[in-house]
Amino acid sequence: MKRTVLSLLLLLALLLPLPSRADVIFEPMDDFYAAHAEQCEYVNDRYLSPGGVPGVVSPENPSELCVFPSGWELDISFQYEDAQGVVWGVYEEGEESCWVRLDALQKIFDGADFQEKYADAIQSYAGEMDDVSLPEIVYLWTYPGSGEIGGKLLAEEIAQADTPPYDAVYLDESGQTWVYIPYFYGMEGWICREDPGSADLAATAPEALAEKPEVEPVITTLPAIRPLAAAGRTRLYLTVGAVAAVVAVSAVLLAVFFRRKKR
Amino acid sequence: MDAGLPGRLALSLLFTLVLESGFAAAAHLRGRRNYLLLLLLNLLTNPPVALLGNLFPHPAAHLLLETAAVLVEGALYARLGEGMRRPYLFSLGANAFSYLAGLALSPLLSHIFF
Repeated sequence: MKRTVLSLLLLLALLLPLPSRADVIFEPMDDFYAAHAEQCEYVNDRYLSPGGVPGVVSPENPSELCVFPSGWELDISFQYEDAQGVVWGVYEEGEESCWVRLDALQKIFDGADFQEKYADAIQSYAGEMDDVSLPEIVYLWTYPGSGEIGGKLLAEEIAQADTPPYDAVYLDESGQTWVYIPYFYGMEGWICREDPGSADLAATAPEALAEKPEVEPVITTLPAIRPLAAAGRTRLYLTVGAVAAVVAVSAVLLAVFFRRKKR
Repeated sequence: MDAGLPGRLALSLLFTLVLESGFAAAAHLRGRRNYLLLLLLNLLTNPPVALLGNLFPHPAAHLLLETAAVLVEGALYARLGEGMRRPYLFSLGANAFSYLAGLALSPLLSHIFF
């Protein structure tokens, strides 16, 4: 038996999967995504729930996992279009995930939307930053006038670049010049040429100032209740109960069947 | 916890039973009572080990859990098994076999069942 045991274990060790290289984009740890990755599109969009929007197991399994309250922001990394043309987005909370119909949510205007909407007004970079003395920290904004910081860079890093990372320029209605960085040290966004070091630029773009839908605030007196985590806790308790029941029944059966043999 | 955890636990139990039964046959385990014992011991240990392994997905935790399962099953094979000369070695071999086979087959099983 020893030889058999060792042989089988050695055979299995040879079959272990080799480690694979990690992707730069983190893929969801979701079973449906894993099975349909090639049909999913990376979007990295943000949505707002108007309230009462269900998160389900998958586009093919309507079992409800949670309900998103009004005002809840969802970060959607990947989307999937089913055979009926419905577009679903995968939402994650830690290791938990669910799928949501994107037509039930309101998309939050972002940098990609800005570039699409104002494509005609965006010009190629022509050295607008050449005579600007950058402060130590330079702030990137998601789009001109968004009022939302998308990241920050060190002036030293920009100065040491082989070529300036600037790609495009936009002049807003108040006359401020915004310079676009498509990718630099993992960051993307717009620098305000007139005030690159300020972290307090107010929202001025019409889209940022647009009246948000009337939503009730998410509970803030306690740690924010994450819809998926809350629903997941209930299922976890049920699973633990089922496991305990199986263990208890097995212990009883062991005592019954093997005690009789000892008599 | 995602909706697939109960399914994963059920699959883990099913494949453990199949794999350990196959291992037992290859190791010349004989007698229906011994196979009933194998079934009940896996019902006793696999669900909690699989549940805790999912909740604590760390190699050290898995090693601890599998070691505990080997010792518990080995002790019960020694006490209740019929004609088992090396119950702890059998328990170690059966658990190691099913664990490694599970690792090797996991990508394929995830694709089929989820």
